[in-house]
Amino acid sequence: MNSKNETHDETDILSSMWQQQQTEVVGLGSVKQKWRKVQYKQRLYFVFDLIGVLFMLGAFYIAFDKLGVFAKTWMAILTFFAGVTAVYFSYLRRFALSWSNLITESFIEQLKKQLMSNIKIAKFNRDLSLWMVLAIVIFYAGMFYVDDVSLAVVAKKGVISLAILAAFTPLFWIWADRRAKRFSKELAALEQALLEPDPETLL
Amino acid sequence: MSQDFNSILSEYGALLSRVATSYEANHHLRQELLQEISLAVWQSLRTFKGDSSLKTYILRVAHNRAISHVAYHIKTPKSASYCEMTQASPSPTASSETTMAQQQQVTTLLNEVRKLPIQTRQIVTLSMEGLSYQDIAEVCGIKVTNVGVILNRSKKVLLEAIKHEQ
Repeated sequence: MNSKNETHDETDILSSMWQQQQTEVVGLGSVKQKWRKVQYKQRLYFVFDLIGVLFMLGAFYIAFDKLGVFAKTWMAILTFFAGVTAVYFSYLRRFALSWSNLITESFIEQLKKQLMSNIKIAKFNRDLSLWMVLAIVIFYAGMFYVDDVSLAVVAKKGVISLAILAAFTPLFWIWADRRAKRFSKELAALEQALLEPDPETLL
Repeated sequence: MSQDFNSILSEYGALLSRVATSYEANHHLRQELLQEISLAVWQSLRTFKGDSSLKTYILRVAHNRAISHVAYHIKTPKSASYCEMTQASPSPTASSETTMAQQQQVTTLLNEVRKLPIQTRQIVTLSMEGLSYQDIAEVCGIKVTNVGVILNRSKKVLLEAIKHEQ
């Protein structure tokens, strides 16, 4: 009985102290502003994903008549791949806009999954920048061997394409690699913060 | 919706602020967290079905948002010294020694709460907000007996720290 009273007293003392702390109140205007920023950011990510697909479609449409069978097939494969990737990325990012009212245990699991998805997206983007170099090489090699485009034309266009890639790929690779490392650190930090003593051992 | 949320902010604004304080010592980051928590609560109100009290629901959403913040801000300094406004400053009327001592106790309590592991921190703060063991267990997704064990142990730790400071 005494122990129970003691526990209630402890709770009362701590609660009373807790309620004495200074508090701040946030205005509705700033909450709405924050919401607009979050929506804007998510839409921007979606637009970036979409730009890749639109670029491929545009290039495909403009050059369609000038392309041989191999070049058309290769571009169709890459466009399809870009489309699937954009849809998959949007699917992975879906959690960011859904505010969670789950029980905390489930929320934490979702949060971990989201961080793992972010790591996956960043690593995929990082590796994609290197795969694009290979895709361009295959594209022009195929044009030369299968579509009978002259070596001079293939070499000229190939060098220009690879030069553009060489300018942007390192920057993109570094950016994506940093993001992958940042999300990995966030996941590790979350797991560290969640380390608890087992309640069963405290009984 | 805005009207409803305005009244919710008036009623539970201080509670949301206390949740933010239990996860973030830095004043600027705390303000940012408070905005994020308020936004999460605002968006989550659409899906409130009345299965629990509104206060319990708001606290659940607020804590979930704050947990995301803990991971996201790993790259920023955790120390309270990062910003000169990290701790509540004494009010102009707080001149007596008793009041100063009380404020010191509150500061110590806040610092000690922030040192607790996330789940323990959540359980302790929910308890100090007046939630029952059953409600805390439902919010956290753990057994009621575990709530009791963690709470009893951590309250002793907090009280010891406060006594030690005196």
